[in-house]
Amino acid sequence: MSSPAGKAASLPLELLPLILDTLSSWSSVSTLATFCLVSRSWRSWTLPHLWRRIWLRDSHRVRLVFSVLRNHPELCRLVKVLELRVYPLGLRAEELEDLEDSVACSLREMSELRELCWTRTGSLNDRLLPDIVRNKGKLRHLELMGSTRDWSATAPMLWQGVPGGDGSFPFPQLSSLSIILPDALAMRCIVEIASRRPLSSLLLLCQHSSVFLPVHAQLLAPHLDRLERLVLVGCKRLDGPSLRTLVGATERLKVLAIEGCAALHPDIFPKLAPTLRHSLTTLTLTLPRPALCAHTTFYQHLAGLVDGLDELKEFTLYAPGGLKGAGGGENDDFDDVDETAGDQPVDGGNASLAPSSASLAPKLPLSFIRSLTTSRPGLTLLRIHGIVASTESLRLIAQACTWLRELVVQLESVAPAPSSQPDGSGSSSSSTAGRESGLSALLAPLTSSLRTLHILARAGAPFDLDEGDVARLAGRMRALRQVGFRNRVWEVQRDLGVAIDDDEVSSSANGVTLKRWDASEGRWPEVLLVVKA
Amino acid sequence: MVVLETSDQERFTVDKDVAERSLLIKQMLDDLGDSDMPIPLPNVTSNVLKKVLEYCGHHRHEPVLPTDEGEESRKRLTDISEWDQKFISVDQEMLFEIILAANYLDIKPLLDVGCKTVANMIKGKTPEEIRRLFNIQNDFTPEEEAQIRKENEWAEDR
Repeated sequence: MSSPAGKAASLPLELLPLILDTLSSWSSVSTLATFCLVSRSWRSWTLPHLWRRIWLRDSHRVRLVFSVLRNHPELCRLVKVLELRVYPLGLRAEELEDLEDSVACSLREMSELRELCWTRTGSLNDRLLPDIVRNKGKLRHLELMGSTRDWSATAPMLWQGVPGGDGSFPFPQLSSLSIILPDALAMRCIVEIASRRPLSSLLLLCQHSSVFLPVHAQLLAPHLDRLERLVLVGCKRLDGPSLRTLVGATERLKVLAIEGCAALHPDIFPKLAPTLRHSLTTLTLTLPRPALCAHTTFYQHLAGLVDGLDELKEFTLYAPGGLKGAGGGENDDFDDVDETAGDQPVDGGNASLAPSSASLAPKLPLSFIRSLTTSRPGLTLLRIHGIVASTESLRLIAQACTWLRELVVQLESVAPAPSSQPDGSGSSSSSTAGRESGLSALLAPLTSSLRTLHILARAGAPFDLDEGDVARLAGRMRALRQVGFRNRVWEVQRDLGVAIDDDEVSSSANGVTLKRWDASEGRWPEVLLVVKA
Repeated sequence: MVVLETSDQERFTVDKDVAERSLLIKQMLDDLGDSDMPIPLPNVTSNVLKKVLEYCGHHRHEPVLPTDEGEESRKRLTDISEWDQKFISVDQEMLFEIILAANYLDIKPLLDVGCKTVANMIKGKTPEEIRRLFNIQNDFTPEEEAQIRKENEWAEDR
């Protein structure tokens, strides 16, 4: 962005909050820290933005943050969101004790906290839990690591409050609860909390664990009438009747994610449709193991569900464990011959270069894509990970879902655009530029809608794009703001005169700059978050 | 047509749809009903209103973005159209006047363009550079400055 012409002028102080509102939504904390040094007034306006969200994924930062907060209760009261994902457990005992004191003092003063995520195993214990509970009347979202080994004695405080209090529920505004890898006591905590406070969101992330039992569904269901979001991952004992009980507990369910639940037979899916018909907007599912259900059967049941969802806007399906995880050589079961006949890799000889694992990768049946997209132009998000989509599937998606804002697909091959091989020799079909143009042509109907695009392809697959191709693709897709290929993600910046750093790639032909994802900004591209179950 | 009167008593006659890009003016028109009375804008001078109306005229046919779309767009500093970039390439004093007017008149998209422009000017600058840019006096003592740097050490890029 070029500076406006002319001489410097004093910034009216009343503009500062307006500008900080704009800045704080993209600025890293280091930028905000810089603003604190400009002047006293800048500091006073910036501090609430700087301390609003503390995002801790670095052990050193954990120590620095709490050493400051311990001595500044006024800063503690600015913290609205605290995410603690790491903890320096390797410290010497005295240092660890000192840090724990700082954390406890700080937590006690965080009376304005709205969201608390505390997920580092072994960091939560009976000494800290009371201060997590104390003075948290405004807490709306609580996410805890569910291993209660070190806080089993104080766990009841999560629903009874601290001793000496009035015994009332300590989080009167709580609406969202997430428990990671719960054990049996954590499951009890979930039931106790849910019975005291109507939740709108419940997430249970297990690692192929039997801790969630049908009885929990029975205990929870009477209290879930306001539930809008239900996420169950890796719950090995979740069965169809339990899921139906949970889903049937509410008429408000908008978001449903059932991932890696090994015992859940997909024949339950069509039975959920009547309950979810008018409410569900977001659905995330995983491909079952072939031993549980043939994939052809899975897609039939799935079609029976999605066909009945009038409001579906976002759909995610992935193979747990990636391409190999849900393989099983069932590809012959997919789709009828006529539909796939025109769907073979056009890259001809390149296809034969693919390792044999390619043929084991699960494929996305065209018939299912047709079922999902037909009469559903309002689909805005479609993510298919680890299940190979064909050229024809991609064409169908692009033509049918013209409102699509986010698309994640797994590709093995894409036909090059006709114009990329003017001599008709097909020589460009093996070049990445040819594939980029082929992809652009396929995605052309989404040019003005697609904001996020991520192309997944296994290493060694014939489909490949280099960084220049990705920049050209972003140049053609003029609404694109984030683009990814394999495990790389870039933010797309249109050429507005912004200085280009060393780690940015610019394509002067289309005025696009790709900026590599900056994890230090505290965000993470969702497409790279993988659940293995 | 709508008549607008600025703080320096200049009157502007503009089409209603142009004036109604300002939610403040739209609200006033709704309250006044059919009236030939000029709408007083005591916080806006004529030279600033001229620029604001240029913006409103250019964007008169654009739909008002839904809230979530607006919020999302607001978060992207580089989402400024070519026309808007050219429009906002004014001297700093006028830029600040436009932002203040957009805030007063409740024209969110113009406010965003102005704030993003200032945000882009600040991005990547040191405290001293920001002070120079906006004629800001450093009112910290060296000791205070050192203390703040220590306090903010956690926020440094790693």
